[in-house]
Amino acid sequence: MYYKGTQQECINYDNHVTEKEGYVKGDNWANPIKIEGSWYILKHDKYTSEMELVNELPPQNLEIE
Amino acid sequence: MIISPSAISPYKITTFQSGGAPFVGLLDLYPSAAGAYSVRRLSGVYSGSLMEVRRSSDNALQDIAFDANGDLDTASLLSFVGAGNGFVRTWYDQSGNAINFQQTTVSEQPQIVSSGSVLLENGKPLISRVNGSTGLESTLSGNVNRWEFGVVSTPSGVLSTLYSEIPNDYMCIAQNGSSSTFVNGVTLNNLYSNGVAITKSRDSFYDNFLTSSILTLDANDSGISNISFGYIPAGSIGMLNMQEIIFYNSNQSGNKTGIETNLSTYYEITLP
Repeated sequence: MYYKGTQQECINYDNHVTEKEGYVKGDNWANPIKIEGSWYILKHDKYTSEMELVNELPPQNLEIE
Repeated sequence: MIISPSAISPYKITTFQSGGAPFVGLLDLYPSAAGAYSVRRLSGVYSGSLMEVRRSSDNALQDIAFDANGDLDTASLLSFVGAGNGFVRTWYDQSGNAINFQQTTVSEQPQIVSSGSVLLENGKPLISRVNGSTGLESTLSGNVNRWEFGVVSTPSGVLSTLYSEIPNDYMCIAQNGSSSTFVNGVTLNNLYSNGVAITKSRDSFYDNFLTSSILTLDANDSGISNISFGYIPAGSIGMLNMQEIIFYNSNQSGNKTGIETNLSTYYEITLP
């Protein structure tokens, strides 16, 4: 499951999860992913957001494919 | 195990089995690797840990070493992880060059323990891909005379890649039924599965490594500066499942059979 939102919303979600989970050594939860102008971030099982929830990432038009 | 009292550097310590014979690993027989990563000890002079593991219960980290036999110390691993899951944060380089593979984004770390059990393939610990972003990053650079040996498998039904460098260089993508570009930014000369040359294509790579198999390749990957297992930011192409991988920067054609036999013996993979 992923959240879809703005880049800043995704960054904020990552910061929130990272702080709550207490990762050490500067580690973080997940990196926002940009796909066709939209931003996504992997949902953590324990933390919700008001961003739109989607089951999976949309198909990506990756150059390497 | 006895540690020589004269040893000072961690890379100059000679250890002995309880019977007195020194430990002899793959790197003692076939030295000068550029980078060497495994779930077993590879060298008699290596005394460090094999990997750094994060446990899911509280996200604490701990280094996990090898036991008296040179195998991953699974007793320590399970004692640390408990009933939850364990993920590999760092896969330590045993070559002496200290070029580790690491993942500091926790959702992209590969898994080694699931619900209190070590993930296994042929009875040996397996570093397993979790999702499309799973990968480990390093500063290991490419080489015009790249030779690699490893034990890997392709996750079923998904895209995966041996290694890459953002944005577009990659070595060996596995994809069922696909004839799309197999490598980019590198020159792959030969690719072998369990010692036998295979077709250099996504479909062939996927099919030939669906079960844990011995990977051998020779290539020119000098265009890559920082090798990463998987294609991490893409979100849909993760790393392969891995148990061991060793990089050389020199022609190993004369050692090919010997190294493959060593891998075959330890990982209980039958060579044709």
